[in-house]
Amino acid sequence: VKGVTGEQMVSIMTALQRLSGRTSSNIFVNILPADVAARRATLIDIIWSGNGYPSTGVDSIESDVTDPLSSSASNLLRVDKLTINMDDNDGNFVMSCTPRIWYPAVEDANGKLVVLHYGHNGAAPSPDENWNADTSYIATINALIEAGYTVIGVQMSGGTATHNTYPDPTATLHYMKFLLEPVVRVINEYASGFDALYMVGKSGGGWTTVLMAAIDTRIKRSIEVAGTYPLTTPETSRDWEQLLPGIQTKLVAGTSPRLLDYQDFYMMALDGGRRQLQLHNVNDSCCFDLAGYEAGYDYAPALTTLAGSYGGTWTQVWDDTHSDHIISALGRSLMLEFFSAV
Amino acid sequence: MRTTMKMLTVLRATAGGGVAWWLEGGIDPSTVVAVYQPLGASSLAESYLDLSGNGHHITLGVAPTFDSAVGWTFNGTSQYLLTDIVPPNNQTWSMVVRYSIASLSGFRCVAGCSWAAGNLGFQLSFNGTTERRYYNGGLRSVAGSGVGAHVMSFRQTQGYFDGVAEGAAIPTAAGTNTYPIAIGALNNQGNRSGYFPGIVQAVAVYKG
Repeated sequence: VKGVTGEQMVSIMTALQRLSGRTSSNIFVNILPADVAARRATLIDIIWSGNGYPSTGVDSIESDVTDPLSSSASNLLRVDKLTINMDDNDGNFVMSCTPRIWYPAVEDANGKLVVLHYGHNGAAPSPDENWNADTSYIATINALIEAGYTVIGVQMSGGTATHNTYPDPTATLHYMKFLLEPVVRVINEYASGFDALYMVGKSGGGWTTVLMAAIDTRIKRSIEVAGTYPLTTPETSRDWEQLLPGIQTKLVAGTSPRLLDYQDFYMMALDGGRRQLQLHNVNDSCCFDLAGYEAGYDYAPALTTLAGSYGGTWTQVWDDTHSDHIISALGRSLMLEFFSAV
Repeated sequence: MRTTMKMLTVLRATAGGGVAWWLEGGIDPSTVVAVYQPLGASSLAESYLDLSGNGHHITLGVAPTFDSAVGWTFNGTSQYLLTDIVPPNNQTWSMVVRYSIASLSGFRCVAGCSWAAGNLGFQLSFNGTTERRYYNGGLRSVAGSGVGAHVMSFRQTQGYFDGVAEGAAIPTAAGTNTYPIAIGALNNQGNRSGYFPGIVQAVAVYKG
């Protein structure tokens, strides 16, 4: 009789963890509700290399600029350009990001701010000004403005040129900070002036939304569209940041610690009555489609059940109305419903 | 337009693929001694069946509370299940369990047996929230809590917690085992002790 090898034992244990059918177990989530705050602090410490969570706002605001997306909301008041310069933690400039803020007419404004992140766009050397003219992006902005939301549009720092090309983290610099810091700093600049702050993102923007909602409790509702699966779910289209470099996540043999995976981030987005919606496209042309989900474990029912113990609600919905990597018309409808629900 | 709310069907014995979880990694089926998976079973009686096909069905004990969506919930005072599996005291066998528990105090055993007094046996246990205990012959104690939902095992002389090897090799111990494995308590020389006040969702035992 052959014996069980160490690798086989790890495989068995991983498979056992993936078994579905439970409704009361938190087997999918590595952290317990009581540990969320401490793990959030650890995550911030990793990403910002022990320098603390950014507390500053944007570096400059240029008011009433040309709308880079030529959005057509009938009640658009104006668009401002925001410039955020980011350094290497030693004061040396590395890159900038230039989000925009779209204001609805004063009489239409509902007092709520939405950060809308549409992922990797543009190309070097000035990626932040190569705005993605995806019609669904513009339609999403229009839908939000027309519903009375003030919208901050953020693009992924580095544009398409940095898909999978950021350096590995060092003790003093983790490049993931350049992907998250623009969102942190626009929130620092504007959140206090609004009644509520929500975030929605697609693709890399979905990834950013998941991370930001886990990290920043000011984000009361978040919607991730086609941006993440747990790393235990097979998916070949994962960018550098998707693999969470420096944040060991996979169940591994040996002495490596098991820290956080995406299911942890989902639950970390819920404390204090917060809500998260995972909206994936059944036939997404890029990634995170239903076939991929079904190749992994069925985490959604368990997470939906567990969400209450983490203080909020978590829901997964599949959109089967198209075959693109977008926020569809249905997605926009669900977004507005999710944000406006009592 | 319509929205698909996915509540995907999951087969009881598989984990998203076509291979039963206890055969993951290319396990030779002849290595498997017994497999129990109350999680997803259709009834308490069905949860007692040995899924390996080797016929080591559970026949004795004080029945735990059964819920297909949860597994076996033991009360920590009287409930346990007894198998007919008598592991040898030669450190060649292995055992894996998946469990959930909200709190731990004192000595508690998820599954196992012992053949004499002292720190020996074939068992996965805890000492309060401070020690995870792996016995296969002697005892290897690892500092840490077992509270929560976890997968725990030993492979021959190596303990694993949530898929991560931990602790040095389990030491040997003298004696010959003649006692079968209990689940939900320790079969301590034919008597029960260390009743487990938690949920057991799956157990598998291997030769080697």
